[in-house]
Amino acid sequence: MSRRKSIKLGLICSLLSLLVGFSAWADTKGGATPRRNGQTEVQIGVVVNYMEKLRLVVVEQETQKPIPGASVEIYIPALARYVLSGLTDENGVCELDVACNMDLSSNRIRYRVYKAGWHPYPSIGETRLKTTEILPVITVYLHKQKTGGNDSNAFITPVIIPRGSTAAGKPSFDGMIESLYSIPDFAVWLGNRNSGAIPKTGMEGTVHYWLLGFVFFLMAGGIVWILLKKDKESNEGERDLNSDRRE
Amino acid sequence: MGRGLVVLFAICLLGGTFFTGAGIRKTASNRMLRREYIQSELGWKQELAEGVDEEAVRDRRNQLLTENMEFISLERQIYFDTAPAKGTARISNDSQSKFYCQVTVVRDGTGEVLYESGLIGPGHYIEKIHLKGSLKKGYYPCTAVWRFYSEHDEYVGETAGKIVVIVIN
Repeated sequence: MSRRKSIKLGLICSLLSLLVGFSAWADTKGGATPRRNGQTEVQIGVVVNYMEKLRLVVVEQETQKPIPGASVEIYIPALARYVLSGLTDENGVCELDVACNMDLSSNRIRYRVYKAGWHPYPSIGETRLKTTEILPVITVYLHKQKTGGNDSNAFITPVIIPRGSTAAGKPSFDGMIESLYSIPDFAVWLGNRNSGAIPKTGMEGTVHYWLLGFVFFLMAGGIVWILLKKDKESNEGERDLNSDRRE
Repeated sequence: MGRGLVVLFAICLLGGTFFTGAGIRKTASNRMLRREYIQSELGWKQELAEGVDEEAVRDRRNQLLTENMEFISLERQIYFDTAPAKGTARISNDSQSKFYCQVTVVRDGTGEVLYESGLIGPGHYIEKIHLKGSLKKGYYPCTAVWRFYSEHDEYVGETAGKIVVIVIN
């Protein structure tokens, strides 16, 4: 075979392989996207991850020991309530999926953490995530319920959370958390989706209605009594007047 | 004076009737709710009606829901070529799941419901979904809310997770 022929054959082979290879490549997701005006936009197959894991570590305030089984709820503004997102594992860790790597005006995550017998009940916090930075690890501190005291009604001073990663459950101080506060919240309802807690008896929460109804009826009764008394007095007065006239 | 007292009497009578009626209504709804919880097929609801510590019961309910979360799944990033086109969501309720579920995708920015599924039984899945409304090209942080129901349509609870809806064109 002459040199010219082999060059031609090589060119044809390369063109054919390019054609086959491109069509196969273009068929993959994110490879080539047809546009409405007939042009083709070729994207390089880079997978952009718009979701990351936000780590919440729940530890005991005094001993820094992880607390497993604590419920973590996130606030859904559209529903105007907190919804369960997970429980902490044996290391006290709960990972939440959050949006990232995108230009968001506000990426605020509001959450609350609680567990029976631990205070604050619940611990409420929020964090504003920045788009391009590594996601923070949030440490939530809970303390054991004190026996004898009315701990649930006590004012809880804001808990200052150490910043940073908590590898192996031990917090370090080089991370970033914008804001976190802890306030007592007694509205962690368990009942129906939109209602309050389950009443212990049928009469629970009705006393004030009955009382107000009773007071109003009592007042109505009082007025009737006054009216009857007045009527009686006026009748007696008329009777006296008539007897006077007869005399 | 007499007419004023009659008006006051009428007001008091109306007020008394209103509050007594409200009391009767609340008592009836309390009893109904309690009966619903006592007759429930869910253990934690019965415990709650029996007066077991609410915090402990809540933990047990959450444990039950979290265990069930392992058997449900949804794509964390759902791509749509255009807003009216179908997107692959792969919503699945594994056969090991104890409950029926219903998924709602809510847009975080506006609260708009972008997708609402029907009741998905254990062992069933939805591969592709259509979005409600017309979104422009872009990415939309959303929340997927999973509502769980027992075999007899009794509401069990709900869980939520963040997802991103991406409209390519």
